[in-house]
Parts: sequence; structure tokens; C-alpha cells
Amino acid sequence: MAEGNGKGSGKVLLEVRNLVKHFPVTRGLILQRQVGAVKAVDGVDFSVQRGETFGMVGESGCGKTTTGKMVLLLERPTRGEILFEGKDINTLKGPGLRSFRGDVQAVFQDPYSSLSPRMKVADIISEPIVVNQNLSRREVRERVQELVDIVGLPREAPELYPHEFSGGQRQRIAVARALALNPDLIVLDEPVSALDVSIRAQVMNLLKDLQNRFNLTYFLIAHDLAVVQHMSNSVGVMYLGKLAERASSDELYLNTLHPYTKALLSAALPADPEVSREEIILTGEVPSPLNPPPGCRFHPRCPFAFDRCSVEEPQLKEKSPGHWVACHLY
Amino acid sequence: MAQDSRPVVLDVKDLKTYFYTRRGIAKAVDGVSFQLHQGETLGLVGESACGKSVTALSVIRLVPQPSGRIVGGEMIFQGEDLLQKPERDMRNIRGKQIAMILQDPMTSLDPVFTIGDQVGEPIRFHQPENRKNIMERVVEMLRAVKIPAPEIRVREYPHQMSGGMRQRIVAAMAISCTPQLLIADEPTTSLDVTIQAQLLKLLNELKTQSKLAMLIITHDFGIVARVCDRVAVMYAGRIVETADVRTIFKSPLHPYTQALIGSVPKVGARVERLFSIEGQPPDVRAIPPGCPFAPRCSQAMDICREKYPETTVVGDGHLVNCWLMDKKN
Repeated sequence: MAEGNGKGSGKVLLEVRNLVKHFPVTRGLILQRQVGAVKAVDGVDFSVQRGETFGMVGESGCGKTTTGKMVLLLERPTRGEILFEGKDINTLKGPGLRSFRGDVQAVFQDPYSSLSPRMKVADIISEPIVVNQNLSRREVRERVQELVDIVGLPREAPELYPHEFSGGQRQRIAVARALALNPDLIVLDEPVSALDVSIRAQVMNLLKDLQNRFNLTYFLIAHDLAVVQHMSNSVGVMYLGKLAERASSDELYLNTLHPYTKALLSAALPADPEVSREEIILTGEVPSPLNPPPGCRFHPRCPFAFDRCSVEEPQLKEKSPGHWVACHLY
Repeated sequence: MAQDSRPVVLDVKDLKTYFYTRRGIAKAVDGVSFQLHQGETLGLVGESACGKSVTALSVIRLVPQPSGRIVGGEMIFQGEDLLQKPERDMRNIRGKQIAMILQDPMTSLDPVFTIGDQVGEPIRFHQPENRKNIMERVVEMLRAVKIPAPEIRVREYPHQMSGGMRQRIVAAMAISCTPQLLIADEPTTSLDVTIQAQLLKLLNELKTQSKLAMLIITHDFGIVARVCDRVAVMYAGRIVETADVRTIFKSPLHPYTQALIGSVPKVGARVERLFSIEGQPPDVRAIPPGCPFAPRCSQAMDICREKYPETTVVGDGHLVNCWLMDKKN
């Protein structure tokens, strides 16, 4: 693992092209007929540079976790390609697949359910090493101790069980496990939302430090725009299985284009009562992905919708270099 | 204290609620005092296990039995001490004068009763004279919380509604008997951000319409900024700082408040590292002597580990419990 300075090398590590995932809905016990499909992810494109963080933000049911699962190869896409280091991960087999499993790791939301309560921390962290690498017991033990130090857990941690740790420390265990095989890419699915406010900052700082130290690439999935903006170099805003807007983190804040992003920004509550800004409160709720509205999926809730929005689906267009938006207003 | 001319609805003095467990006494609430005026919203802010929810449950006397007990203090509501009331009187107060919205609308509604039955229940219990036109009242309440097509919804069941709608229904139940005090315990935590904004707007409207006093329990300073007039920050069973919402954000004095506000990422503000508080909150069964925040505090002095600081009045209604205040004076 090379110690990097955390700056993107300008090389694309992960590229997602027109990714689609439909879950079939069937009826009938024996003769199952497909009666519809939940369009969880419906045509998503983005790319992540090595050493950078791409953040995906959206409400529940928008498809962000399904996208993460497909990148982790826990779900196979219905259509589309996921290129990791230039190769489509869904065509990987044998040794190629094995090394991919080591190169891409995950940290999940809830450290209470993502760590086995019956395993000691040493076993949790060493499991990927034991499975994937041929190391002696002593080498494994040393590596575990090294990882425990890297994530800032107490030295005696390997001999303890997960229930002896607080939420923030458990998330550190999950991070240590993810780091065990020197991955290139880590998928962070809501890594801080289950944690207490003062602990969130600790974990976010740790993740940033590790990224700088090991030149890690992150694919961050979260519902909190403030968290995503803080952590990410570029951000994609998902709505009902599609990207509504994609831009660099600063650009997205300074030149917000899509009405949905504006609403999210407005709802990412100004943490200061003196800063008032244009307040957009959306009416209604996210429609079912089983039967998304025609035209622009956001039009029933959009305060700026006009005739064209309910008929024609807007395509993701580059409005200014690197700033993509799918909206008929632009 | 702040010169607030509005009448005081609730005056809590030195409330203590302990839990007697096999592994020791957990001092969940250990000497909490605050006042709530008519039409005012007080935010009780803190991390999990700081005692904010137990404070709320103590106010309506629903502390989990038998391990939990209110061991001291006074809670003056409309001139009478709630702690002296027999349970029968409390039943008439709950839902009528003091109402509560709980965190999770999925579990606070009964799945086998219709919305109409559930929203109507407090009316049936507290206002038997309105029994005849109960459904009209319910429809009116649902309309007040902006449920579309309320005439149809009264006949439906909770599972037919989304999370945001269920929380509105819980709000409708809470306001159905026009209470004087509404307690909301993490009302928006389980909701999506855009739905959260809708509910906060609704709470603000209810407040201005009916001069309701509200006690909002939350860990989110964003919600505080949106709906609260005054804030009380809790740590390990005690209120460490109270001030009006502008002061809390502009010039927080307690190191814990400062750290808590500094540790939240802000949209648009580019900071490389967040301010973080090392360590974790203490176990409420073994709170260290002195100031419980001292082990995590970067400015802790010797005295902080020995004695709990007295309340210092800094400005208009700005109260701080910290030894640093003495040093400055």
C-alpha cells in the first residue's frame, strides 16, 4: 500500500455506465408471471478518480444502496457496465474476481449488525486476511495489531468482543476489517448515520485521514447532504433511480441547478438561525419506483414544473464543465 | 432569567430520575431545571443516553416501571406540582393538557385500529361531550395536519400510510384535545429529509396558531435552528447550558456546546477536519465526580474533577454550568 498524499492522480478507478437494476415483481405461486419491476436503479453514470471521494446522496428508496451493492458485486445489474480499473467487473472470473474482492471493501451503516457478536475483534479483522492471504499465525496477529493501531482502537481490542465497544469504536472495527486487504476502493454505505453527533466527527476525521495516508478511493452513500459535501470531491444527487445532478462538491453548493438539489440543500437545515436562505419545502412524497411518474420523475413535486416536464424525460446534460444536470429548466 | 412576560406553563426544578438496576443506580436525570413559557419552544439537545428522553417521560410521569423512579424535584404545571398528583389525575392530564409525539411513528400507532379510531381516542376519553360528532372532529384534525383526502383516510389503517403521513397522524392525535404543552421526542429522526422539512413547518404553524408550549427533544442542531426559541444542552443527566437559540449558535460558552456545534459539518463551509470530541459520554451508572464532561474537556482544570460547577448567569437567560466562567470573572 503506497502512502499517498490523497490528491487525485486524475486516473479513473471506477466507472459506471448506464447502470440499471430492476427487481422483478411476480405473481402466482407455481406459474410465476412477472407483473412489473421495481426500477431501483434506472440508468446511472458516474466515475470516481483514484484517491478521491464520490458521494451519492438521496432519500430512502432512491437506489443509492442498490448502486453500492452492484459496485461491491453483491447484486448483478440488469443492464449497464461497472468498470473497475478499466475492466467490467461482471465479466470477472477466477483469479481476477478473487483479487477484485480484495480490492473493493465495504463499511456498512450499522456497526451493531455488521459485526458478528460471537467473534472476537481479532477474528473479525483477520477473517479477510486468513481467507485471502497465506500468512503465518504470527504475521496475521501482527497485521491485526497494526490495523487496530491505524484506526485508533485500544491495544487490547483484538481480545475483546464487539459488545464491549461503543458504536463509534465498533465502526472503527468495521473500518479496520475493510482495510485488512489494502483495498483501492471502499464503499461507505451511511458510515456515520447510526452514530452519535460527537462520535460522527471522530469517524469522519478518521476516514479522511486514512484516505490521505493510503490514497484510498471512497464511494460514499448517505442521505445527509452536509456529510456528503464534507467528505466528497464530487457529488451525485439521486432521485428515484436516476441522477438528477452531478458536480464537484463546491460547484454543487455554489451553483445549485436542479430543483430537487435545491430542496435538499434547503432541508439540510442551516445550522445557524441567522443564516436564512431560500427555503424550498417540497410537497408530497417520493413516488413508488414500481411505477415512476412519466416524464421527469420529479415533476409531481417540483415547484417549477411546466408542461414539458410531465411528457418528456430530461437527459443528464453537461451545463458547465463537470456540472451535469437532468432538468428541462436548463 | 430572561424577562419573558408570557405565563410559565411548565416549571421543572431540580428533577431527579434514577433507574435502580442490578448493576447499580443509573442517574439518568440528575438535577434538571428549566422553564417553559406559553407559545415558546424549548429544545432539549444532547447525545444518546444523556437523559433527554427520560426528562420528557418524567414530565408526563411515564418513566419505565419498576426500575425507574422520580426521586426528587418539582414539576409545576399550571400552578400544581405534577409529582404530587395521583395517577388518576395524571390520566386526565396526559393527552389533554400535555401531549406527546414519539420518535417512531411505525410503532406509536396501533396496526389493528383505523386512523379514525386512534385519532378519536383522546377525544372520546377526554371530551365525552363531543362523542356524537367525533368523526367530524377527527377529519378536522387530519385536515389541520394537512393529510390529503382526510374523509377517506379516517377509515384506513396505519400500514396504508407512509412514514411522513403517520407522523402527521401522531401529531393530529397529540393536538386533538388542544393541549397547553406538546412534548416531541425526536419527532423527525425516522423521516427522510424533505419530509422532515414538511413536519418542522407543520410544528411551527401549530405553535403560532395555538400558542402551544413545545418541548422538543433532539440531537440535531439543524432542527434546533429551525423551530426552537430556547435551547438547553444536556450532558450525562444535567443541563450544562441554556440560552436563546441565537446566543447558543453565536456564542456558546460551555466547552461541550462549543464542541457539539463544531463537530457538525455545515453545507457550503469547506473545512478539512471537523472539530471532534475525543472519548465517549460516561456510563450513567458511574458518572465521575465533579463535572462529568471533564475527562473529555480540553480546558479541564483540577477543580473540574472535584466539584460540580454552580450555575452561572452570564446574560439575559443565558445559564452555564462550567468552572471556566469563574475564571473569566
